[in-house]
Amino acid sequence: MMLRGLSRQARLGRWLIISMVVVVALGSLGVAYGYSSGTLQAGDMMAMACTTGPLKWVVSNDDGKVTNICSYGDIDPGDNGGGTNYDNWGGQSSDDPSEPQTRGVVCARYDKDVARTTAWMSCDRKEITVLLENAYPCYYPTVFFGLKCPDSNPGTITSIVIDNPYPDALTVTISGIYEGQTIPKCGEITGAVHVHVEQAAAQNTFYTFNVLITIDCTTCGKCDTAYAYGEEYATCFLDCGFSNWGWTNGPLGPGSYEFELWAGAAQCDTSKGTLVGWLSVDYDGSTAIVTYNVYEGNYMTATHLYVGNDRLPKNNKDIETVAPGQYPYKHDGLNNVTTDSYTVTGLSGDIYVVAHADVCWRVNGGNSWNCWSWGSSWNYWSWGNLWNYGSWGHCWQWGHWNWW
Amino acid sequence: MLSIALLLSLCVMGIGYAGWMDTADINGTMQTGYIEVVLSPGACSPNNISCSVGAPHTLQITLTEAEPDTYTCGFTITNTGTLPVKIQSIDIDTSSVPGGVDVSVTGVVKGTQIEQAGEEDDSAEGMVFVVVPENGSVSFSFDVIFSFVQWNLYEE
Repeated sequence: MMLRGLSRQARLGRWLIISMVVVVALGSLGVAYGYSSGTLQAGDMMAMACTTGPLKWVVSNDDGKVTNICSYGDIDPGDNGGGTNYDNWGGQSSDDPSEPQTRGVVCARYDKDVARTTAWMSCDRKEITVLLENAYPCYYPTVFFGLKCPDSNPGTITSIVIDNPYPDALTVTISGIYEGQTIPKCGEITGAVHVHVEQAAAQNTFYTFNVLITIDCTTCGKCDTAYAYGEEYATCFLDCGFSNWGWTNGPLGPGSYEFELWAGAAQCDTSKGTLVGWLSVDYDGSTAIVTYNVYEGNYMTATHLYVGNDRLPKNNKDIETVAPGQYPYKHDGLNNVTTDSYTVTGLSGDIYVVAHADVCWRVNGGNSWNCWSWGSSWNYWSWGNLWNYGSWGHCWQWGHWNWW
Repeated sequence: MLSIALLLSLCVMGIGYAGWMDTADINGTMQTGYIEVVLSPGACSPNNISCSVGAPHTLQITLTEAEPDTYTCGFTITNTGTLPVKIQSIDIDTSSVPGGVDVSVTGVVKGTQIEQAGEEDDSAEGMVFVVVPENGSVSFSFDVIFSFVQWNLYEE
């Protein structure tokens, strides 16, 4: 009986230790999923450029070539190039489609190649450009495309908005995808844009249209604490006798300043951190307007600010502190904002600025396993589903799963 | 209990699933082609008959003191547009043609296709025939009106 009690205690203790280790490990890594209503912008994060957009491929059915996407076979059979009785574009186009095409199925075509349609994708895989040339009433090309969430994560199409300012001249329809449609983990969905030129289309005229597809992709994000870094104005907290990283920036005379906003720059080493945004400070000698900004796709959930003549804020015992919760100006519980501003009045002389924010940003593409390992471990009850995603070689790194 | 507490604590720490909004933007531009057909008068014979282009796509034929004979005027239809066209109709306005005079058009008919500019068959040639019967000299004018349509909208 006593032995059994000791054994239970030992097991409990072991679980406690394991649990604490896991918590500490997760806390130190700080990897989390996040939410943002923004979109990533190519160029803001160079490493993400060309890899993050949801578009995977695009195919026009009147560009003169049958395109084969390995998982689907021929997308646009019949787009064989040339024209049966008339060939305006040679190999750059085919007999003109006269009805919408279904992926992989031949569609009706005129016996002439008069118009052509080309389509291409932007480098960041977020945009398709479709160009119809020498179009005429009843011409009916189709552009197919593949959609997949970054890092092969699951997602949902939240909206499809067709903006067609010239409904009398052309009709734009979408097939294959719909609002509320789920994109499975590791899965891809295909859609198509059909453009029908109407009788009322004027000759020798340019028309435009737009289709905006918004996808809510479950994806890997990282949230961490961030501080403004004013380079020559910055003094690391470590140099002020604190063990936390972060910077106080000053002394600042009247003027306008722009500081970088760095997240996760442990030991004040920016090479360890991520540049997530910037802070602007406009100080006229008595009022300072301080504005946080994060790059598109990132967001903030809290900001804490100190502005004053001392290098650091002080706690209620009049002792210097770097704890953001004790800064005099706070915006907690921000709703995933991309900008936040303070106006601090009653200032004089040179000032110091300590600006802290809780920031989330999308983790770079590539090895998504790290994200999923967290997700799957905390949502281990969905293991059954995860197993069913299949294609382990492509989406999962089995070796890493052994770690669990 | 411990596991549940652990999970809850992690949730509080903000570890969980969520989504990033991604967008796919499809921007389309359509440039339409155009139909442009030029009707040109050709040689006429004999001298009593002349041909000119009046209103668009209209040949105006004039006979002056024409003796009984057969009169002809040639014409050319040229497609200078970017779309193939077909002749949808050829209408001869005979309201001012004296009785007994026979007027006809040969070389092109309703449905004749003329390819777009630059192609081998981007023009077609036709002829207007006027047969004046043996009942004296006549002078009159009449119109031959052509209409063209984008080839795939031609109606039989």
